[in-house]
Parts: sequence; C-alpha cells; structure tokens
Amino acid sequence: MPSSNQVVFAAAGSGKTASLVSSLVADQGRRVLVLSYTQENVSEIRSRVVRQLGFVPAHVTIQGWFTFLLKDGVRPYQNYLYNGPRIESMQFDAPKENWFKTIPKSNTSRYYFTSTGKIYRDRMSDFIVEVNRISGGRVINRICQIYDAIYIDEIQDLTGWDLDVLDLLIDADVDLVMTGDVRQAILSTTNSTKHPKYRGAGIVKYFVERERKGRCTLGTRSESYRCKQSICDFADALFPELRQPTTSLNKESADHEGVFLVKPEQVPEYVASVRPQVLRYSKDADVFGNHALNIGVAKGQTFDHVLIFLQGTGQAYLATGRLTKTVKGVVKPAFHIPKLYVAVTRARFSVAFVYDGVCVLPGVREYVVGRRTT
Amino acid sequence: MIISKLLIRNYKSFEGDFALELNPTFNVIVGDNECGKSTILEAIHLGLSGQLNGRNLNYELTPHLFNKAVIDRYVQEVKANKAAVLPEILIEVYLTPDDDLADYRGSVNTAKDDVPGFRLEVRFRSEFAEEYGHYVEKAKEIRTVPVEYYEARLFSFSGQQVMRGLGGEVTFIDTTAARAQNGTDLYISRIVKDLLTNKQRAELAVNHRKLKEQFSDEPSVKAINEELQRHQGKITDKVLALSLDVSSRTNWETVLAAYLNDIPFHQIGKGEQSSVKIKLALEKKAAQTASIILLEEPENHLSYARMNVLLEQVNTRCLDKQLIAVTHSSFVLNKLGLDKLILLTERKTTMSLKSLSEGTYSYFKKLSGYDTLRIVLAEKPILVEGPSDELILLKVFAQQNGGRHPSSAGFDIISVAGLAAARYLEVAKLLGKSITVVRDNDGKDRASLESRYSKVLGMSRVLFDDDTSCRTLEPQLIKSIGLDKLNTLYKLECTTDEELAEWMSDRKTSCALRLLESSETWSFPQYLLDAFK
Repeated sequence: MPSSNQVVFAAAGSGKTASLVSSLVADQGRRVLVLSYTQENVSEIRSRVVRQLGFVPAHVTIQGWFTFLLKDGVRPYQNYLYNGPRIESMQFDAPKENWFKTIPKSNTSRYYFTSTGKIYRDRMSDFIVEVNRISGGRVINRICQIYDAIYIDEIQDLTGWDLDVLDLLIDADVDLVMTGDVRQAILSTTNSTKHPKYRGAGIVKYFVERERKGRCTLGTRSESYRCKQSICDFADALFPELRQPTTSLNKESADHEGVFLVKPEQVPEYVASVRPQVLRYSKDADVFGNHALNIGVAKGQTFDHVLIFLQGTGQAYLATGRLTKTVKGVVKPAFHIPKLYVAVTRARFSVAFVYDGVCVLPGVREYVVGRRTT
Repeated sequence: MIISKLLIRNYKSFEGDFALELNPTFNVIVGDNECGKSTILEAIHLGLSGQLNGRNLNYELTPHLFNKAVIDRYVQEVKANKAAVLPEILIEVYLTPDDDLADYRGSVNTAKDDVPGFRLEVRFRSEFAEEYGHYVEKAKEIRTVPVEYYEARLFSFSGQQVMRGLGGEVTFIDTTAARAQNGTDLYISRIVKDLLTNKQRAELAVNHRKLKEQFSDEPSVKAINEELQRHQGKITDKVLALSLDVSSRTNWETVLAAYLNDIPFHQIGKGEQSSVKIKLALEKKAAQTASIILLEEPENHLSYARMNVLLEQVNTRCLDKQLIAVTHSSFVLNKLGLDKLILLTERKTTMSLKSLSEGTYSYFKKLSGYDTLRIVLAEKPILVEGPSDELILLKVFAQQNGGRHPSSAGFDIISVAGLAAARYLEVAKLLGKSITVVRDNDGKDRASLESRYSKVLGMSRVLFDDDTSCRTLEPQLIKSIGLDKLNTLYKLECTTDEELAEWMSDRKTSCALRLLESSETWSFPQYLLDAFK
C-alpha cells in the first residue's frame, strides 16, 4: 500500500512534532514505532507523550534512528553476512585515512567493523541493505511483522545509505508517516558520499521522485504557531527557491518584537533587559561569559527571545545579503544556511544578532538602549 | 507460544550439543534415572527466563552447571596449553513463528533458523583476560572452570539482550522438590499470582499495605510508640517508633499463605500439594492460549487413583497448551499418549516412536506402555517367548550366581509374543541399545533365522540352539538335563524323550516352576547359559 505513506515538510514552529504526537497516541490498536535522528528530539517526543497520557503506551516504541538500525536492522540477521560474534555497539567516527576508503566491500569484517567488532555508523545502513538482500528480505519482513506504522520525525536528516533503507521501508507493507523541515537539515546521519543530490534541501527531490512513482504523498505546511511574522519573513528569505511564504499564527504579543542588531558593547544591557536565550554557532565562540546553547542542541526548542552570536560567514550575510558564492565556477551556499534558519526560528517574539556594521537586509533594525520597540 | 526445538550445549549432563524436537501439544520424556530428563525441563525454563532457582543465573553460577567431562577436558588441556579454549554453556529455545513474538525473531541461533526464540550464553568475559592470565599461570592448581570470570546473558534470536525473556509464560511444576520460603510455597504464590488479573493483584497489594499501615494506628501499638518517644534522646535524637515495613520488600507474595480447608498449604500432604499445584497451573489464565507447562514426574507422591483423576484433567484442560512432562511411569505415558513419547537414553540420543516403521509404530501404540518402557529403561533387557522361558532363565541365573535374581545384575527378562521380537529389536536399534532375544529354533536352521532379523539386529543378539530336531524349550531341556533326572523330578516314568516332551509341553509353566523351585543344580542348554554373558 505505497500510497498510505505520507511525508509532510513543514516550517519551523508549525507544530509538526505536536501533531505527530497526537496522531500516534490516537493510533490505538496498531503497533507504532517512532523514530527521530537526534536524542534531544527522541526525549522531546517521549516527554510530550508522557505529558499527554502520563506514560508511554504499550503500542508505542520511541527510538533514535541509530538504535533502530542496530537493533532491528543490523543484529537480527547479522549472520547472513558476518560470521563474527554479536555486534555489540557502533563506532561513531570512521577512520579519516585513505586506507579505509580503499577497503573493498568483499572484505566484510574490515569494511564494516572496527578491530574490536564495532560497526561503523556510516556503514550500518549499507550493511542492512546487504543483509536484507542476501536473506531474501527477512530484515524488512520482520520489521513489518512487528510494526503496523512507523513515524519518522526529522526526515530531512537522513542521507546516503539511510535513504536506501528508507526506500526498502517505503516499498514494504508498513505505513510510514514522515515529517521534516528541509530548512533544518543541520545534522546529517552519515558522512557517506552516497546520493549527494539528496543532501540538505535536496531531500525534497527524493520525495518528489517517489511521489511520482505513487509510493508516497508529499505535503507541506507553511504556518508557524511559534514565530511572529517578522521572524518568519527573515527565515523565508534564507530559502528563496522554496517560494513558500510562511504565515505566522502567533497571536500573542510582547513588548519587544522583531529582528535586531545589537552592538557588542550593548550586549550586557540587552541580556539584562530583554533576557534572551543566547545561541552560538559552536562551543568555541566568545559569548562574553553568557550562558549559551549550541544551535544544534537548541533544535526543537522554543524561546521568547534569542540573541545569536554569528560566525564570520553569517555576518557577511547581514552585510551583503548574499546566499551563494561561486568557487571555481561552481555555485555553492555562502554559509551554513540551515543553521542560521534553526537559530532564528527558535524565537517567538524577537531575534537579535551581535553585530556592528552595515546591514542590507530589509526589516532588520538597530537596537536602541532603553527604547521599547513595539 | 510453542517450543519447536531445544538445543543444550555443555549444560550439566549434556556433553557437547544435544538437540530435541518437540511436539506442539504433548511431550512425554521418558528415560533412565540420571539420563538428564529433569535437566531438559530446567534448561527450557532457564533458556526462556535466564533464571535458575528463582534467581538470575548470574547469581547462581557454579562450576557444577558445566558438564563434568567438558570441565575435565579443559583442566587437562589448560595444563598442557595455557591458551586452551574455555568451555561455554549454551541453551537455545526455538519457538514457532507468531506475530506476537516477532520482536524475538531473527537468525541469531546455531541453526540460523529465522524464527522467534531465546539464547542463553554462559561464557568468559573478555575484560577479565588479564586476571585469567594470572589464573592460568598456576595451571597445576586448576581443578575446574573459573566461573568468577564468566557471565550469563540472555538474548532473543534478534540479537537483543533481554532481562527476563518469556519465563512468565512457562509454568514449571516440580513436585519432587519442596521449596518453601517463609512458610509460603513459591509455586503456589506464583501460580495464584498468575491466576489473578492485574487489577486483583493490585487490590491485594494495596490492601496488604493498608493493613500494615493500620497496624501503627492500633491503640496498643500507639501506646508503645508513645512510650518509646519518651526515651527520645537516650537512643537517638530522632523520633523512634515501631511500624510494619511498608516498603515493597515485604510484598504480599512472601507474607500471604495459601490455605486448603483452613490448613496452611505446606502442612498438607505432599500428594495433595502436587495435585493442587498441577490443577492451579492448568487454570492459569484460561484465556491466554499461549503458555507452556513443564511437568516433572507427576507420579510423585500421588496415589494411583488420584493420579488418574489428575491426568484426566491434564488431558482435557491442556489442549491449547504445550505440555512437556518427564516421567518414570508407564501409566502416565499411556494416559498422555504413547505417540507423544520421547525416549531419552543415557547416551543422550532421543527417539520418538514416529521414527519407527509404520507396522512397529502401530504395534507399540496398541500395546500397554509398560513393556515399551521396560525395554528403554532396562540396562540389559532379555526378551523371551513366554513365562516358562522366563522361569527357566531365572533358574539359570540363580544357579550361576548363588541364588540371586537377574535384576541384581541389571538384567530384565521380558516375555513377548513370538513375532514381536523383531519389533523390539527395531526399537533397540534406534536407541543404539543392545538387547538379547532368547528363542526356540522352531525347526529352522541358523541361516533362515538370522536372515529374519538381519535388518533390525543392530547391536543386539538372538540366541537359539542349532539342533533343529529339538524345536522348542522342552526337548532342549530334556536333551541337556536327561530323561531320567526329569522323570525323577516330575515323578514320571516316561520311556522316550518324545513322550516326556509331550507331557511337559502340555504343562509348560508348572514344569518350569518345578525346575526353578528345586534345590538341585541342572545342566542347561548352552544358548540359555549365553543369555547372561
């Protein structure tokens, strides 16, 4: 039943996690598996279910993507491909050296495993696809016997071989309910170079192709219950090719709203009077001693106000408004756009950048100490 | 849940791999003492639950769980070579595919079958490599397997480690051991617990806790606590009071006792206990079809009549459950169905009657289970053609062994109708067992008799005399003992061997009995003497 698979791409703050939680809670009488890429989002989904029911009902299993791959993909039929002992755990980082890239796939134990028998994270899906093929589809058959439906949140994070596993599930007798936000493709599941055209926002292409073959239905949702319109507009401008303006449904108001520039010397006063959540690009950014969250960790969370410490390339965007750059004749993103998108869309009322200079972007105002701005 | 197959490796009496296929309904495992019947039930429970004696196996690890021969081999090897392979125990329980068991499905098992199931491994933990290195330094002192460096882990066939598996689906009725703890019988409390719905259990637990809490509100207990409070400061600065422990450590299962007609369960007779246990187990969650009953020697402590009633119950109530019973009793076997029989030999070979030829299978199905069991259980079975042959062989043995009975040397003399010998030989061949058949030559020569048994002989032997002029036992006796001596014994005056043979053949049993009861020593035909060699 391929048409029973659905994927919805939604804007940040559209309530996709909330609607996923309410539909899985309502999915009584069916065994449901919920998958998400980050551990933060797995905990977020679990605690939302618990908030609604007081406990996680027996028909629901909530798991991280890698736990699922190891537990239901790699191990049950591992002996079809690999004669070694039980695969106890996975190795996050693969060796960077060239020798690793030249190991042929026929050398099963070195291609997939460390010397201590851990399976490389980036090769788990590859392993699963192989085992499923050799065993005549037993891996997928078993998953379908256990689960009636699989919900996958943060679908935009799947890349490389993971998409081949997803293809097997899309063709199998299990209902898939997938949600994602292409603009949030910050983290990707693997460092594999397979399927480069589907990386980042390219994931939409993957689903458009499957929709054409009648294997899934693709939908979008472009309302935000979280961000005020000025923030939505700023965020939309980061993805002009999507031509999908977001409408704010945040009807509340605060005495400080909009997108601002805060000069470094204004930061202490700004933090004291607005009380924003400070976000940073990476842990080595200087945040003037404020308590800060990495943007990757902040994903899935909501704050009234955020103050963002940008990196050089992000500051260049404020100065020039340029989203792309040309390197040796190839057009590339000028900076990590999804990361900025995630940072901006955490805020309900205001976003401020620590920045001292000219800004060409429309709707961005300079912060003036002591003046409320509504 | 239905068990289709079991694999035991190096556990207790099982050296190396032992595989057993099970019927989806009833299984009656029969075998000699010490051949590992009870170990099979224990292994099934252990393999599904990871528990032994009600505790996680890791708390019960001892060298005695390992097969003796395997340990000995390891001890010998490690003395010669420090890198000797450390023995492992493995128990695999294969289940019949079922949607509800799909979580446990996978090919992580020795047979590489894609079925649900569980696998218990007891093996060396590699993180103790260094400690073990020191241990084998003193190889001369090594007497056994260093279980301190071992761990037991239970996995499903999907490779997932599990804590308790599906042990809750199994009811293990062991009527041989009286396992009492704090006055409550563990089986009873467990079975009663299983019988109750979750709601009833919760109510019981809540009421038990309330009862404990009420204790401290009793006026007399209050008075005592007030008295204690006056001593505040002498013992401790905090307020000291006595109360019943309301923590879950003292849960109702360990405190409540079962009563039968107002008598505490552990005070009633063992027989009644056994039958109550079995009946309760049969009641267990009638709606829940997927469950397994392990029944150890139901004949224990039970009278014939009571056992009959009980087995009727098993027969009518267990239809939707898988039953695996271990027994010594041919009666139990006959009641539960001979076609469910699994014979287990000391050499750990198994056989079901289904592997016999069709004619032999239906012969034994019609026969009482008694003789079937005797041939399996007897150390050295001797088949004879009738009671007179049996009596004469008793005399032969007594004469050679100072008046003792053949059973004292492990011989069991079994009378079977003439043509049946070949059927028994077929069973013996399947069991890899040697039996002795003693028979008349019926006027046929050696070649024709031997060709009759050639297909089923196996390790067995067939004894008879070559003299075709003496076709049966009586002429054979006359030939070896002599006309005169027998005339004296029977107070006869027969003039020819033929005349005496005719007279004896008319009263075979009483003639044989007279010979047995006589105090004289007789000279018997060689083929009878050979029977005990």
